Amino acid sequence: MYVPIAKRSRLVSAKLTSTDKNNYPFLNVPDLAQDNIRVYGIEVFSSDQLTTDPNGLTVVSAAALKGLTLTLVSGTKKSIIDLPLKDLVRSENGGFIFALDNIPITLTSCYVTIQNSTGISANQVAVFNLLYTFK
Amino acid sequence: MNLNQVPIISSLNSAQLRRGQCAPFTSTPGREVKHAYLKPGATVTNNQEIYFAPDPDFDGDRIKGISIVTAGYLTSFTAGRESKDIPIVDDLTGGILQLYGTGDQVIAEFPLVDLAIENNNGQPIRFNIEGVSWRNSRVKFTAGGTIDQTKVLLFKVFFN
Repeated sequence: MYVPIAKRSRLVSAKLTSTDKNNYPFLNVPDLAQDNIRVYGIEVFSSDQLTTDPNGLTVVSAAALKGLTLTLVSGTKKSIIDLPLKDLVRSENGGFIFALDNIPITLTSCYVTIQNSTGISANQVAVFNLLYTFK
Repeated sequence: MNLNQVPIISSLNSAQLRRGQCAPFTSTPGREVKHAYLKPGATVTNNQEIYFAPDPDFDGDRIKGISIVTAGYLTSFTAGRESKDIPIVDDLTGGILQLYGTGDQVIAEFPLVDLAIENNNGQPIRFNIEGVSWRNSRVKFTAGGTIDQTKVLLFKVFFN
């Protein structure tokens, strides 16, 4: 049994600007926004673990995660499509960080989709930790 | 645990081992472990940063794992010459651990609650990290909270 280990990691957020069933892209992080990273691990946090993100935005509740999915995109190619966010909560999955096969991503093309808006308020964020390397 | 439930991880093991991106699910990363602590001077506030004291044992590529101790495991700790209470895990939701390099760039960051092993099946966060400057590393609070001068943030750092 092997587990992902952190070489580099950053917190990134998708801001849910409304409660409409729509796609909400990740906010820009300059160091990661040059189509230059490959992701090999990812986890998500609710307000049970982090109340506000580094931008000062309110993090969604644990209950709200059940209405959200994640899609990872590189250029025009979607590699991970509509992954339920609850799948990425480490404390609910035996302590394991979700492992990926060095997926290249274009950060601001990746997005969270509201499938069900129960428990979500406008301008909250879904916060992820990306384990990554540079290309 | 049924290993058949984790096909993604098992199929990627060999390639990720070569790249230094995964490690065996052992109980303790690193060969040695030492405590590092932070003492807030007052109740922590939004955007406050508290820096670690320099420690060459944690610089460069030596850190192999980090966890944070909560009151569920240890109720108090003598930090310097003062006995301080240790926060419960719910007190930690406003803080992020940030490991910085010598170039003052964030190398890795994790919410403090994510470092509490009771939330993660007993597992610390494992690292294969390079270029850490421990004196530049810090805890940043994205929200003010209940951690004050009576408490100490206590980290267990696993290193080689």
